[in-house]
Amino acid sequence: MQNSKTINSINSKFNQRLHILLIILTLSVGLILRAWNLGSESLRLDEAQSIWQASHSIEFIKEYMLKNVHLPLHNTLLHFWIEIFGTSETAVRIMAVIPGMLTLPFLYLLSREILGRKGALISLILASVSPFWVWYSREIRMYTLLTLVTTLSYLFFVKVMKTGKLRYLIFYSAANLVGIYTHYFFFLVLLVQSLFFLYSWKKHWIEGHTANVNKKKLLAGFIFSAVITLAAFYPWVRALYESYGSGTLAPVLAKPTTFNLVLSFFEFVFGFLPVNLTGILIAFWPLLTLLGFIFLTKRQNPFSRGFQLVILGTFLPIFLVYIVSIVYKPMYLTRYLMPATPMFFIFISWYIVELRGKLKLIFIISYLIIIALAIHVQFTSTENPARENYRDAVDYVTASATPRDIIIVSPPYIIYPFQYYYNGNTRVSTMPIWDKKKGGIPQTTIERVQNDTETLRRGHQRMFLILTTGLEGSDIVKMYFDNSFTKLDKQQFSKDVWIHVYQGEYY
Amino acid sequence: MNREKIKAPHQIISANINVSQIYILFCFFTIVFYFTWWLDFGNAGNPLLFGLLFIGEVYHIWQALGYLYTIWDQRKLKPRALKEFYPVDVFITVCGEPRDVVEKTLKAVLAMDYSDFKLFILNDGKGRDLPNWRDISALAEEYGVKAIVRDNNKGAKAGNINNGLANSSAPFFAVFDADHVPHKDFLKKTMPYFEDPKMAIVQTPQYYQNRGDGFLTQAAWEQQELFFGPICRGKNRLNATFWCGTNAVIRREALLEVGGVPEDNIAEDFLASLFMHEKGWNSVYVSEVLTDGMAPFNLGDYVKQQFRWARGSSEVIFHHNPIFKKGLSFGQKVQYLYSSSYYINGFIVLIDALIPIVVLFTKVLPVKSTTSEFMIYFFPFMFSTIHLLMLSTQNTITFRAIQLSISSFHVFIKACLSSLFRIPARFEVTPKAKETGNFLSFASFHFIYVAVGFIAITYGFLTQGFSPSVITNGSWILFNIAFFFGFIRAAYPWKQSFDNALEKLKTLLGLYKEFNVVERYDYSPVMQYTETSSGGGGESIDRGNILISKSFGSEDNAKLKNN
Repeated sequence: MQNSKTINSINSKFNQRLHILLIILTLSVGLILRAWNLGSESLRLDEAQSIWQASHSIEFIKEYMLKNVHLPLHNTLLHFWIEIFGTSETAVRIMAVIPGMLTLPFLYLLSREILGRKGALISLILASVSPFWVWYSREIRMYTLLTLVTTLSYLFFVKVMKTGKLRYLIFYSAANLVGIYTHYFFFLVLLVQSLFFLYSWKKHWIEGHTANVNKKKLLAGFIFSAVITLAAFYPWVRALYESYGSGTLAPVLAKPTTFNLVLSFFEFVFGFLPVNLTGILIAFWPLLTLLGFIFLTKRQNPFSRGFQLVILGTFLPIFLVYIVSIVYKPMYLTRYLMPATPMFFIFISWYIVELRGKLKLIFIISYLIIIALAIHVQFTSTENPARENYRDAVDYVTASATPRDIIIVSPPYIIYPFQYYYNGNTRVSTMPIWDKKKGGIPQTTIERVQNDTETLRRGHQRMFLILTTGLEGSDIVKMYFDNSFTKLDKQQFSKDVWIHVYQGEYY
Repeated sequence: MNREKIKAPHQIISANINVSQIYILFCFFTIVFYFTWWLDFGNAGNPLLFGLLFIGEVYHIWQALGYLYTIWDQRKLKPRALKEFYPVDVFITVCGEPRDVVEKTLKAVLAMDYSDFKLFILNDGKGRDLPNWRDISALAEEYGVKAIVRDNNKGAKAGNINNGLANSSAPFFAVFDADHVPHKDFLKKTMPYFEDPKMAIVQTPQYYQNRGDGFLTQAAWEQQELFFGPICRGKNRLNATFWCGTNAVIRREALLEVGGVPEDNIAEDFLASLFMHEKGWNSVYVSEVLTDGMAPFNLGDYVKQQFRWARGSSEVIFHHNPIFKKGLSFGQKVQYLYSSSYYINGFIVLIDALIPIVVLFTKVLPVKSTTSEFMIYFFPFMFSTIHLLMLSTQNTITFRAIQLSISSFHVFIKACLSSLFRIPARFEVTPKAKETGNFLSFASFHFIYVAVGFIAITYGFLTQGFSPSVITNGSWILFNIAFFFGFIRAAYPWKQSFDNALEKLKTLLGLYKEFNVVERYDYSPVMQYTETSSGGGGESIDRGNILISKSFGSEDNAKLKNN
């Protein structure tokens, strides 16, 4: 008897140590994936734009953001970061790596609250090697910060729901305060939590378990937290109201299709893969149905309260944004839906946890092999749709263009990454011509392109058109140039970044 | 961590489950949403293939809606206390079952805690010339119980019960199949419902006590769990519970009013219930396990059972369609139609299985819509209805139950066709003896599908390359194979055979080692002797010869060492 107890204790200690070892190992892999060769990739348009904004004054950032679709917190933080660490690719991206890495242990804790230790470890593994999270952890934008505050908000929300403790309510409110100034879509997290709270008003976190949590007190606590959050957000709302009508810098988004919905879930799992590979993988969808079938009808545990939150937190934001984009105004971009991802990873972990025996191990190993391949393709394929290799494009024009040529970038906002890298003495303009400090980008029409081209072409031997395809107006510009001028050369630097060289005026 | 214990089978059947009606409504909307995709005929590709798929989806939607309607309120009835001991005749129907099986049931009936009942053994073995019928009569005599024996087998089980009714007189009778052992309180818990003078049927669940024996019995039990769980509980609300042949008490007057048990149908219980409901009689389902029965032991028995049920249900659809029965309420019509149409699923499974193969061979597409658009309509429907299935059964149904049900498609088709064309079917009792063995012939369709499916996938890749269309259709074929695997698995003791083969291989390896040892000593006479004794060379050595050779090898080696 004594021996058996001792063996159990040794086993338990061993398992605990193994668990900790796996956590450390997973975090290390996550860190390597996020931080390895951080500056090797060219800055993308959005990153360059963030750096440009952050390099201005706080007041400028605020004013700029009032006309944009984003909130000022991230770029304000970046402003101070840049002052200390500079603007090299590696230096700025470390600011994304930090919240990207910090999210992982908090996701572990959140998942542990819902799925237990094994489930939490699986969530940690999935999130650490997630191509999607890795990609955004290596991009200096607000998305990893958004993921971090989302995870923290859910974590403390669950803690409050389970224990009703004040300290968790304070942490919860603090996370929300950061969240509401990080991204507008953080409000979806608060919506999910509110709906879940109302839905579970008469239910306990654990079915049949009458925990010492007074729902009325909880409600009062949440209302108090909401009041603080809204009060903190009020100045921004007021500023928005006051600046209404002073022009917009918001990107023009297309109405999403059902494909966007499917693609979002696909990208959450596989990251950014070449279009043909994406099509092939999506074509396996009947097997996904089979997996769902097997899982739903071969599971042993009832759906827990926490799982209901996971479902709501994963799917509600996505479908809500999709529906609003269809019926009101397009606002659907997969990266905006980052607040759905922590719960999505817990959702997949839950699936794996519920599998039994060897099937679980087989599933994890297969999943990790596929994800390893996906990460490899994401980082190496020139067909990655999210890659924007402006650095090499700029290197090319720097080496090829002379002061007698002109460099034209289109669409106009490509000027941000261009300017970040360009240090030459060839004249540079945008198509259509745009002064970024004066406000909104003029609409691309064939007439405007024609007029602006005539203006720019004069006195220049060659025109180096740096074009990012797939963006608003780029097809009009390319068509006009192709039909009007002799093409001397063309180069592709990533899937959508091209340089076309046209004959200007003859000398 | 929030983990709740799964309930035991008795608890599930007896559970007082109330699935959120908001969730049921949500599922309803996902079904309607999905159906709108099919109603958009702009999605149609090839009209024939689309038409076939459309029929299949209409059927699926009907079944899903039927399920929603059934479980809308599945709260179980409150137990009633017995006020009066009405006289009851208890029938144990016997048709060739082993003596020990019948004896167990007989003893349990005699031990029932009820003051006014008379037991009859309805021994139908003589009419079918079954060898043990005398044994059963002797058994009855031994226990002082009356055995009613027929000279013929007219009307099979229905005729047997009618004959029992003709030889008994109590106003109520309980029926037990020979392998369904009643609990002591069976009559005490069922008879109170007859306080209602219009109550004709009190049905209780069929519980399989051998459910843990293997894949087949587990799957069969889970199917029962679904039926005797949410479906039967839901039927109560609509006064649509039907007699399931055993473990029920019937009011004699109600049955006689409809002419007794119909003898021209092998689902006599189902049809008798329909007739009694048509005449305005009531029925009730007591969701408490009050008997312990046995699941089919092997695939052959399972097929017989499923064929019988499918044939009977098809008879109702084709020859006694509830829609045209004037005496039935709307709810009863829907319920009879819903239950009896279940077996039409065989045709739908076949359509769904064949279409991807046809697409791969012909490149003709049934639909024009994009995959992503279809997924958006399909997934909410698919997963919400399966989830509802889980919720309503408290997660007891598993993949194997659905797998076995879907892979029985050819049995259902055969039953439906035989009913439609009125091909006579014989009532076959599900055997009660534990038999295992080779039932691969029942899975021949499935093997053919696997072979043709893989040929189609290969052909698709060769002719169309690694295209999304080939991948999707190939994936559908794999999807179907995963379900058909249920029959393949149950058809043969694969594991046992594999273990045996492994054992043989190990022994052969052992022998090989032994030979090597001998060879190292260079003692060729042993080899020669072994080959001679095996009667055909080393390769054809059987197990017995291996032992001989081992024995000789060892002795000779020992001698060598001594020398």
